[in-house]
Amino acid sequence: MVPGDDSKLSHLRRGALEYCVLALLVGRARYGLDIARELTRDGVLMSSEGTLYPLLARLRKAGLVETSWQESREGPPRRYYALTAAGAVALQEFRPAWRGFRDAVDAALVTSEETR
Amino acid sequence: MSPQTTHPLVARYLAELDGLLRDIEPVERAEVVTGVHEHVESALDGTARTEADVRAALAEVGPATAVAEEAYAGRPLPASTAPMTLRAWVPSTVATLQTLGLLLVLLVSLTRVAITSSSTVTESSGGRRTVSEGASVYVGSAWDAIPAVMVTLPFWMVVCVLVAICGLWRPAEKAALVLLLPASAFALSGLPALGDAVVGVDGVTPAAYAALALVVLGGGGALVVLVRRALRRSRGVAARS
Repeated sequence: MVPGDDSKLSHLRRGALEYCVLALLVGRARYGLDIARELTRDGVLMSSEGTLYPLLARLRKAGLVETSWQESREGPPRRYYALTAAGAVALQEFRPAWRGFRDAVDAALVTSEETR
Repeated sequence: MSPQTTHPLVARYLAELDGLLRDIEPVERAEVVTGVHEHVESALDGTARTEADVRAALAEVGPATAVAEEAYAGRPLPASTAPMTLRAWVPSTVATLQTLGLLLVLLVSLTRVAITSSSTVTESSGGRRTVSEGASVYVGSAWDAIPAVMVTLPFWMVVCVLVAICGLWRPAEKAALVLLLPASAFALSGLPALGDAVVGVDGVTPAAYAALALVVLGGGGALVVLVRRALRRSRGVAARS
């Protein structure tokens, strides 16, 4: 990334990152550090691990995720986040919306490249 | 989860975050803070929990302001409600003025430390001249501090006012800050004079170097410690307000 990219990315992330979190929870509950490490792996989806928690709090408040405590082999019990039925529906609805949005952006960018 | 011990750096980070989130709904605010706390504790599992480990874990979490910005979802962060006299600008300004003052004191004082040596020229009846070296004399005195104090007076007066109104220092710390400039001026003039009085003119130069070390290392070091202490307290106040 080059300097300045971060502010562009933070605008692009808004609205999409929640669904990336929901997608990571499909099929299995995960704890915060686990989700954060996955999302910050390439620095594109998330730059600071801590920014995950306001997002998780919003998702829980909206009823899209639920939390439970599970024992950990490495230390104290951990709070795990799991997808709720409403969360699964929201993710299902987001997929086609995202594809349409992504295709529209791609098309606009390709057109602008061709007319240069 | 309630970790048995929380490292002071983690506690400070969480206090700052909690303060930044004061306009967020209480349940959500607590959820974010405990989530970040659990995250840091999970990241520290399996480490020796040294200061370096803690700093690395907090660096991964990112600045508290970045977490708060995400919580406010695009809304501006609340402005600090800390009183003006408890904000970081006060110690920063005092640090700048004291540094400039110390440099002026050094400049004025060191240019006044001078050793002069007298020489006598005698001429014999045959017209032959003989030059005899006399004793070297230190011409300075402790009162040479006065010009240095006068030069730094404008800086010193502002420092006195700022230190007096600022609530980030304790009384002993305030006294040290107020005395720093005049004490430095008197040390730089008085110690060479003392060296001259005790050892003679040979004692002037070592005493001048000792005074220089005392002012730069002692005075400068004390200034750094006191300013950093005030900045830390200011951050604590900002986080709680």
